[in-house]
Amino acid sequence: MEKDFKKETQKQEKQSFSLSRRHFLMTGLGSCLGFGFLSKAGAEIILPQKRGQDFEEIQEAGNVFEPNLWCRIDEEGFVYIHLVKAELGQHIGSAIARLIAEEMEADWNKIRLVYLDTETRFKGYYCTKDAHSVWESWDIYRQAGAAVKYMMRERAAAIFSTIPEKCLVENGNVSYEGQNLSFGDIVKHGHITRQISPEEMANLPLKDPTAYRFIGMKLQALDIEAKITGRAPYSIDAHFDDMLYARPCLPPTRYGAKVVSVDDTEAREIDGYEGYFILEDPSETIIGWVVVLAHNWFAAVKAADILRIRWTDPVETAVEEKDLQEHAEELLKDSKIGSDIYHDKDVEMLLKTGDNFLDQTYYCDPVAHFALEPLNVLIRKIGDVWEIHSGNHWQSLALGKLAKLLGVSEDKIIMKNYFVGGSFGRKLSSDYLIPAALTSQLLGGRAVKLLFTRSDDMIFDTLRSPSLQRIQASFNGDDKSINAMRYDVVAGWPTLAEAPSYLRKGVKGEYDPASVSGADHWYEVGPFHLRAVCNGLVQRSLRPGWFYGGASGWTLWALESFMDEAADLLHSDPISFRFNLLTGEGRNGGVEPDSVGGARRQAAVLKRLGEVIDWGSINYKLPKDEGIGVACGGGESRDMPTWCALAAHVHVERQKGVVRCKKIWVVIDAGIIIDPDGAEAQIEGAVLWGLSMALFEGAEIKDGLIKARNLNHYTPLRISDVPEIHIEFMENAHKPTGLNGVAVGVVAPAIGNAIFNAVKVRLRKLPMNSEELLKAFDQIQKNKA
Amino acid sequence: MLKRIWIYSFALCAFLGVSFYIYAWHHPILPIIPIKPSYFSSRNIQHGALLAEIGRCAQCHTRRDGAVGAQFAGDYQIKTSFGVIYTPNITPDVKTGIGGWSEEAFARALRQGISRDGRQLYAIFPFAHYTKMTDQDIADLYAYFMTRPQISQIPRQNHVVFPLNWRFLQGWWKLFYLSSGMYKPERHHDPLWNRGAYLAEAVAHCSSCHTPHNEMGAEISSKLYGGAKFEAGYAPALNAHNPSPLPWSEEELYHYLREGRAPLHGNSVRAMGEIIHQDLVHLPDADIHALAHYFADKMRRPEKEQKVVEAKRAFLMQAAHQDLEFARDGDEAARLYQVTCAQCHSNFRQEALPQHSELGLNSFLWMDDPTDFLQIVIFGITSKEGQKGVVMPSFVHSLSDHDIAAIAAYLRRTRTNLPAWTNLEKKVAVIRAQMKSQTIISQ
Amino acid sequence: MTTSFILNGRNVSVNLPKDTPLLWVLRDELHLKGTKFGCGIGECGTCTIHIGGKAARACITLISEVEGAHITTIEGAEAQEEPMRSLQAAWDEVQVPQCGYCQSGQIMQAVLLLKDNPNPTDEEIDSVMCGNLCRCMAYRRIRKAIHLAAEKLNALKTEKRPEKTSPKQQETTSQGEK
Repeated sequence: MEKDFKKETQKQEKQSFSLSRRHFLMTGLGSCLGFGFLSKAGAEIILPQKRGQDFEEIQEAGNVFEPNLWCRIDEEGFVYIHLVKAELGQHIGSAIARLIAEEMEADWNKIRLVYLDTETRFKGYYCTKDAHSVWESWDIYRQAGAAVKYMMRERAAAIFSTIPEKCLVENGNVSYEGQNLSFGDIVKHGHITRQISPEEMANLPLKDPTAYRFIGMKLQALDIEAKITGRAPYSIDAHFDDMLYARPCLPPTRYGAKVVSVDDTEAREIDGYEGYFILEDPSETIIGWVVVLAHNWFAAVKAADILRIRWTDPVETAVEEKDLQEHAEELLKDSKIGSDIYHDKDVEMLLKTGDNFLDQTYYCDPVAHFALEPLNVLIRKIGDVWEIHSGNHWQSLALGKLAKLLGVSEDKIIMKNYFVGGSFGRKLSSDYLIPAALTSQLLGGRAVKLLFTRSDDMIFDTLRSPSLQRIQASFNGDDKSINAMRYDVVAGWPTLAEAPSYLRKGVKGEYDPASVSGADHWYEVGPFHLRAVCNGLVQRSLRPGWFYGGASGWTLWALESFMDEAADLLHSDPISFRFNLLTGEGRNGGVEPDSVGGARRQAAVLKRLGEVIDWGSINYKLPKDEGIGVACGGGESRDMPTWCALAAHVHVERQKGVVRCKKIWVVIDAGIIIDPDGAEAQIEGAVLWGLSMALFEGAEIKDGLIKARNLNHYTPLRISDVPEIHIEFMENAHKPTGLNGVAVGVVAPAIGNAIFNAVKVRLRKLPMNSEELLKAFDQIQKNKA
Repeated sequence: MLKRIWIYSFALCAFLGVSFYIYAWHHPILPIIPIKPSYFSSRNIQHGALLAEIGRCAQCHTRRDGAVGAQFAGDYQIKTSFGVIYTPNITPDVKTGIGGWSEEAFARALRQGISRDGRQLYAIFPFAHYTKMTDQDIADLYAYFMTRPQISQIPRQNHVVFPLNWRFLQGWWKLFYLSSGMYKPERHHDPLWNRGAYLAEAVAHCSSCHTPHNEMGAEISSKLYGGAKFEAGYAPALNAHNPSPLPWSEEELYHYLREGRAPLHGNSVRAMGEIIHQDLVHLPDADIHALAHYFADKMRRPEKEQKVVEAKRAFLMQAAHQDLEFARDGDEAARLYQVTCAQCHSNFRQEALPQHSELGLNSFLWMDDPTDFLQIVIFGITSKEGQKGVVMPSFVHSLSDHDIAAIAAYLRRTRTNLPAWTNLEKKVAVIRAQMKSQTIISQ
Repeated sequence: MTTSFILNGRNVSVNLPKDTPLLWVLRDELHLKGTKFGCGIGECGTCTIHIGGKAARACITLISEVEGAHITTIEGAEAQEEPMRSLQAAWDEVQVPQCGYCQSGQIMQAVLLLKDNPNPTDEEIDSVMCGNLCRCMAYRRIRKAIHLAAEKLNALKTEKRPEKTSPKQQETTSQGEK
């Protein structure tokens, strides 16, 4: 029965995935042309609102014309841009609005953003992930904008009694021989009957980049105002008067412990306490859960603290960090298991020949998401429709799972769109929606707000998996090239845990890109064997999660540390050593339009970085115990590479083993930059995240759970730890690629390489804390002795 | 021979005993017919009310353990090292209170510690201070009490150890420790000083808490205002031994006593917060100035310390600058301090922030016993205790014993040149256990 | 237990257990959702409000502690008062927020920083703002915006100086919380 459930869910996921981006377009044009479209299914988030104005108060004026699925225009000429993406801090609404407004020739002051809830009308793929949003929207929204412009001009020409070619569209206005019609005027006139097929739309001419007014220009993002006045709506703010508050009582380990008994004698003394449920989840996403209900959340918090629950003893899942690492080491040794992404001929043989050989292993601790808005869900049933308020931003995945769980079809569930108070990959998973859905179901659909305390959120976090990587390569000493490389990555597979149908086919077996991406690098290394192994113990005990920066957070750390180690071994300069391997030949040549240029673009950002930091001489000018290190990479995935090169300047305090990062330089090539200021913000964030994970974070696992539960023990980077940062973007006209988290991966290796350049100590464990550094210094002393 | 010695000794003892008994014996004063409230003038009553506030009469004459009793109806529980005493009813109820007391009887009680019926009163009643009051003030106080509502209440039975439950033995105590009589102004001090001294010594009896007591429960006169333990905490020295790093100025003392605000020393908290906001608040400004004037003089430090003080001041005003460096160097306690406390207490000005100054300035950090400092971190400061309306949250639920101990040790280490506090974690646990609300809140 | 206080200029009374953190009173009882919940132990700063003109973490401030106090939340601070006005303008100009969740707290903390210290250095900003976590790591912009706001405020002061009554007015506005 349970197996069937899983299979079915997978099948459904597959289906929703096959509804590609195009699907939006088809549905839209098929059903929503002409007048009369008005949707008020609950309060949608519409931005920007004026001071003191609620979202509900923003309404269309008069008739509304909906030229296609991606926008609508009212009689005052306001253009409402329909967004299926979630606002996670990337100002995605404003970025997408630029695309459509650009081609539409809209007035920026009349742009409004509409964050759509999932609804029947917009059946399609709702997912904000992997920095893909702009890249995915680039064609569709520009084409949609061009279509609006086309229709507006045509209708205006009819009103002016002329031909469209003689009309000029500019700034939300169509003019002809001194006469003007704003978009709003045209809508007021009505009678727009023109239909444009998807094929026609795709063939409409698009603007030349030199004529851009919005793309690449400095504009204020439309979500800022709400965020600095405390009015931005997050799901934690959702409220119904009749709702019950819930807090989970989490089992001693993520899996493996079942509830034996619950005693709430003491809890019943608490004012406002309502009761508890023991949850049974047929999908086995959650096991051993008790949920406490109360009329205010603080009562639920107190009650959950004093509820006496007995669980069965978890055996295998009460792991220590050491167990996970040992298990990974065993898996690494077993060459028969795992999946191959690349397995070229003769790698194993070539590794044994060559002038030099390097074989190194790298280990990364888990990391917690620690999104500032703790996990929360408000769920209720209105009529026969379930409403989910959760900040979850892979709504399509959640819909499939919840539909199965609640025994309804997907169109009976609405996932409301909210601003997300930080996710970093955490709120892609639907695991936290399930307990809320089960609880509300037990209450016949009553509104339930499940809110995690910070420690609950930490315990239930889908951590970034611990990982073990081994890289072996043999070299040609003369031209300092690589003969062959073998790369093994052992880690947890988040996609296997959460959405197994999204695993990818390798040359042997399926693998999870979210656990290995980045190891499929762009260097010319001769025959290459890249193997991904799933650490089953991580899977069974921790449930690994998708994470900001993806697997590049650990793969680039290993790869780029290895590159410096190899350069050192070959007495080569780290930048020129890399540069010579970024030839852009064969599979590293790139594919139009997404990875056009391939490895040569990585070489270009690296070269530029060298110029920016004056690499040739800077290391000689530094004081004692200071060093600069570099690293580069292709961002989060080969499908949509964003090219990064980064240098870090560190100082190492030998006595305490403290590393301080003084400055970071980063050069990025993400094609056309839609929103320069937003792009810089994304890179700043990613660089500091990378720094935080390199030096400040790292979660110890004890008895199957993360040991640090809150900020008194989990110590992410703070404002006082921020170094000077220099950011540069390459200018070109390539298709825009993603920016969210892309620079995360190159930070840690640049720091590690800088440490090596400063004090000649190589660290191969992340985070690089003082314990590791002092250990390494000790080792050097011992070796000397 | 031996027998004779015995006899003489016995006779001497008997003689001394009888003489002492005669000394300690006081005649009862006959009850009077209750006086009608209208007899007293409202001016006298009002002034009496003020004196009662400053004298904190209600504090010890109102029951608080278990149930809250009527004001002045007594039965307040006082635990001493000699046993438990329940205070008498001082409302004008004839049978159970002081309704039958003449003004003469009332004055005798305040001046000599003798009850109307001639019994000795225990010295926990601060008649050693009240004796210094002027006749007029005693008359006003009498007017005030005789016009309170009559409450019939008999206090619970005292449990005082033998032989101290023989009340007449209190006479011994008085023989040694009571110098009866009105306050006599000191000529070489100005009238403001003398007014302050009168208020502090006679009415407000500040030294009851701020002076160490001997085994007999009497203030040690050689250590006047030398600081003493009281209840769960410590009443700091109000003489030249005051523990604060910087001396108290008259002006700051005034603001402290008037508003609970002392940027260079820390705002008022707990008992002192109550005294300032509930009792002293009724005093006219001139009297607060007098108190400030008096105590500024008491706490005056030798001139030669001036340089040391200036150096300390300069160092403490800069202390916040080093915290970030320590935090960046991976000092865990520094990091904890930085994220938990620094947003309020970072002092980058040359003068102290008005509401939440640099913690190195706080007197509690400079005391030998960390209890008071820890209590503040654990219990916080409510809007009513310190500077009105300013709140320091209670960290009882958010910081572990280890965390609080680490922050305390860090501050002591980086701000003072005093020996480190010991056993901090244990002390935190003890204070935490005293917290009435036992709710554990995980976050 | 009934507690009364002055919230954003209005008298408010609530009847709740005395150990209830103020944060939940503001959010769930009084429906002021601009003040956010982050860590619950006063170490992320996202629930920062003003009590008696001083920054305080609402999540660890118990309702029993605030009797009679003046409390201001981001909603109440929206008034045209300095330094809030300049701060919000600077925040907008620098485009500080990313996800925005920590921003109410950051701004409320920054208001107090500028009141205490009208010309903070980087170091001083770091020290005071260190307790405010921004998980999107918009720290560089937070610093930048605070400097910009300080500049704006200084410009205002020099502009106003020639007028007769202005110095005193400034005094009262800049310490308006008291």
